[in-house]
Amino acid sequence: MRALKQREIKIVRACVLPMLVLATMGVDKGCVTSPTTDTIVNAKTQTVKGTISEYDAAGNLVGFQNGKARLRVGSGAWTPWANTVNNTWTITPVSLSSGVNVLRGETQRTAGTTSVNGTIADFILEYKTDLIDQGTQKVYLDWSESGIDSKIKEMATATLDPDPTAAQLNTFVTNVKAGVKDFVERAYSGMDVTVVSSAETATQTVKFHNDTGCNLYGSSPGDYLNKNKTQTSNVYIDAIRCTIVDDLLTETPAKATDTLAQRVTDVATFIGRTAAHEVGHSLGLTDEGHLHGCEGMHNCESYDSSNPANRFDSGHHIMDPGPKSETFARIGQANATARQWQRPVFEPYGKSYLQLIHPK
Amino acid sequence: MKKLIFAFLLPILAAVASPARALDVPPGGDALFHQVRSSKVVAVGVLSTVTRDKLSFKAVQSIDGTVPATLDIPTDPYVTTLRLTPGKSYTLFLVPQAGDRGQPESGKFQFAVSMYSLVLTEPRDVGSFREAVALFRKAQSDRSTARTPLLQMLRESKVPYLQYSAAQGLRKMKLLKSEDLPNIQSLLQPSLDPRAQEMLVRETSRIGGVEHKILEDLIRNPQTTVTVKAIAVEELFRAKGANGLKPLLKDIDTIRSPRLKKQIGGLLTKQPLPPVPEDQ
Repeated sequence: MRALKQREIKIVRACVLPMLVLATMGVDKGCVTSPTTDTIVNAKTQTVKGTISEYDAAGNLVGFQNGKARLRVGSGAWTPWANTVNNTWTITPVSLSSGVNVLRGETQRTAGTTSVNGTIADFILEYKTDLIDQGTQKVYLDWSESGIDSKIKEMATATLDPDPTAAQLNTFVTNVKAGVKDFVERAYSGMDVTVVSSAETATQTVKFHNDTGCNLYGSSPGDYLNKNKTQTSNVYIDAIRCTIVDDLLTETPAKATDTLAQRVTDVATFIGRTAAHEVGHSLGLTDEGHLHGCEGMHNCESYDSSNPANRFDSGHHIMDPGPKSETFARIGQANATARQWQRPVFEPYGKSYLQLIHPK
Repeated sequence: MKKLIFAFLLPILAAVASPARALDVPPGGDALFHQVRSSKVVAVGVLSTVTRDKLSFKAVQSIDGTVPATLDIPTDPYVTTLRLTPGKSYTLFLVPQAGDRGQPESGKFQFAVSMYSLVLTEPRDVGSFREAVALFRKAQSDRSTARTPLLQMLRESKVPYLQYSAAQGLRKMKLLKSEDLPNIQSLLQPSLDPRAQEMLVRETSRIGGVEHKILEDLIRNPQTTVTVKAIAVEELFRAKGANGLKPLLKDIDTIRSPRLKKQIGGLLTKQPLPPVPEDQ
């Protein structure tokens, strides 16, 4: 028995593992590997690929199998059966309707003299024709307002024991700002969105403010399709300071004995996520009329309840609504009690929108 | 008749015409703890008209602080995205409006936190809102005073927003203790506001953990939101490991939730992946 190849491990982690929930009775499960499910596509006709996973009676993954698969879009006709080649089935053409398409499928194979049937769980592909390439979008992080540095320093002194020295605090501020830039760049990697070092033409500016107040982290104009590439979003550092000081050590796994470097990561992730969130709005996420957003242009929890979608994740997804985004998620932790890094990201749906209007 | 049509059409036109806006606020930022903290005055009034520049309220009653009987509150691009209904009552969290010289203008107010500072309120619930706001206002100076009344509000209120605010307030102010667990367990019913459920399940892990059967019931119930199920799954796994989740697999109705499938799959398979047969 050989170990799984890298590609297979990737498929298993992305697709097969979720199927484990249903695989308790020795059934096969089909998995879609391409295109990414729950995304926007801009071609009416798609080529869909996937695998067939075999599970034993105890629900353990046995491995990938050859067989055949077919799909249907909504209540439409089934596609013809497609045989796997090297454990991958390819179904083409799959014709989509304009808007949200819910697809489902079946798999079949022969094991000795037995026919083994399996299912491909419901998944969404949304076909849109209005997402035009908008070219490069530049983003400028404006730290020029005075008084911000002292607020950032307080995020360290209030949450670390012993207090950092003055020199350490200066370095802390420098590293946090660098970490914010890094976070925004990583959030938008794979898209033609570039962080620049000054406000140029056609630049979205994220202005960091020193305004006193604990109840508003950020604000931004929304702009579906990003027709205006010169807008300003706002991030309020004092409000973030309030939360870090009040709640970091009680609502996240952070401890007063953490290293300064760890606190840099915590704070830079919080601020970086907020900046990426506001930029996301100015690029059009998550428009309520066009992208199924709600609660003020954010990822919609209720949408996930009635669709095979994974838009909302309590703050782990960058465009989740503020009141429902947990502090531990904002600092890049998986839960409130034990350190486990989970970088806030754009979920596949939002990412596909960004990649279509700003393709790399 | 024309006036009625105009009153209903204008919000729609305003929403269509105005550019979209979005805000980011703290966790629970729309609940009473944050809204009372950020406001100087709280009132309830009947929305009479919506224009591009302002919302007008009549029959305004004070809940906390002094307000006139009618109010004109300036809108902002965020408030205009709300689907407000003239004729309905709203609780309003307000701050004095700054004049040209930056000083508060007498008798003029603006929303404390924009779109999050209006809460649809049934007239019969105004008394409950008044008590709740007084409770949170008092808690600003002494949080310990809030524990018992918030637990009571959680237990007795039929208003989802107040249930949520009570749970969020207990969590934000770190008021729950291990001896509250039996109370919380009895409160974790599907009838409780989902956001209150979420707050309570999250908080129980901090104070000792809730009975496993309660978590299992929450996960099995089709009425429970995916978010609450996800938190309950995490808590159950923390308490019982993989053995805690496996019995649920047949009963989980969230086959359509990729988030929950991925979460449970990830928790159950924290082990090296099995090798593939050689002939494949």
